[in-house]
Amino acid sequence: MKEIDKLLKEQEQAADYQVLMGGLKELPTADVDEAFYKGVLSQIGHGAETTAQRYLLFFGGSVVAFLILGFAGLIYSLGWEGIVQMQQTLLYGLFIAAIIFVFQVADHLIVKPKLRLT
Amino acid sequence: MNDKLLVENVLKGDEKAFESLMKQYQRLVGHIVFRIVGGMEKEEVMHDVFLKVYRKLGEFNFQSKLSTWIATIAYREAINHARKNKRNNEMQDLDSAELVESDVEGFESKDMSLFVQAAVDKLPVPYRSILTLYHLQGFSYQEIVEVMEMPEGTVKNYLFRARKKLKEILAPYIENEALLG
Repeated sequence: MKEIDKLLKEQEQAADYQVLMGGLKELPTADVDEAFYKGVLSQIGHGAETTAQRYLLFFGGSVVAFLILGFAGLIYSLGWEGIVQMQQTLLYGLFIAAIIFVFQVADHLIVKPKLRLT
Repeated sequence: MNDKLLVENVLKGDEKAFESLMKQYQRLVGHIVFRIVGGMEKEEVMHDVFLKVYRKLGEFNFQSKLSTWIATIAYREAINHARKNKRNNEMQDLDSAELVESDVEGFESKDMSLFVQAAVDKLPVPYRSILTLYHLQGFSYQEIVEVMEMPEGTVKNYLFRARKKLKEILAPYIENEALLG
């Protein structure tokens, strides 16, 4: 490490070092315009929306998977006649499925087209 | 507005505060990104960097300076972008920093910034990044270590070699300046 420190110091003490640094300072600056900031700020809103959508889809997907597995398990253990006897449970399941269906349709018709526009 | 207050306001959802943050650090991000990514994609990558900064700001714990943290995100994002675009051949070959003469010939003195730009662009990516962070952004060795995830010895070694190569490339300009000066 000491050797490299010495080499760097020698470079900095060389007569042409300041000229070299002056040349480096000539590098074009990387400034952006107002439209850039507006673009990022507009994306921030959409970013939050995307996250909300992700949670919604994750939650909806989990419920659908739970229902499918649950019904499969019930049919396997009770048989179809057993399921019919559990009409109340079936009604709850249909109600939840209807809600998920509404979310999925809304996602397909409203959220996704909006995301495509960004 | 100091960094802590700025971060707190952004986390509260203040978009104006985030705009201030972007304005404060756009040159830092731009310098890093522009040294690594070429063409029309530069602003796109800067855009992605600031979106990432916004989304990850809650994780920033003030263990380092905000500028170092943002520079780290910018460096990684630019490197990842370059890799995705299969432009990393030059990144892997650190010793092939030979400048093609025709690329810098023909620049008049009024085009000096383009001349220097062309010269720097001929250096390997880590050299360019270290030159930018050390000389244009005034980062310390330790901060560069953090941003580029390299040992301090490597950072110093690359800085030495970067300056040496740049000096070789800019030799005609330096001689001219010395004659004028």
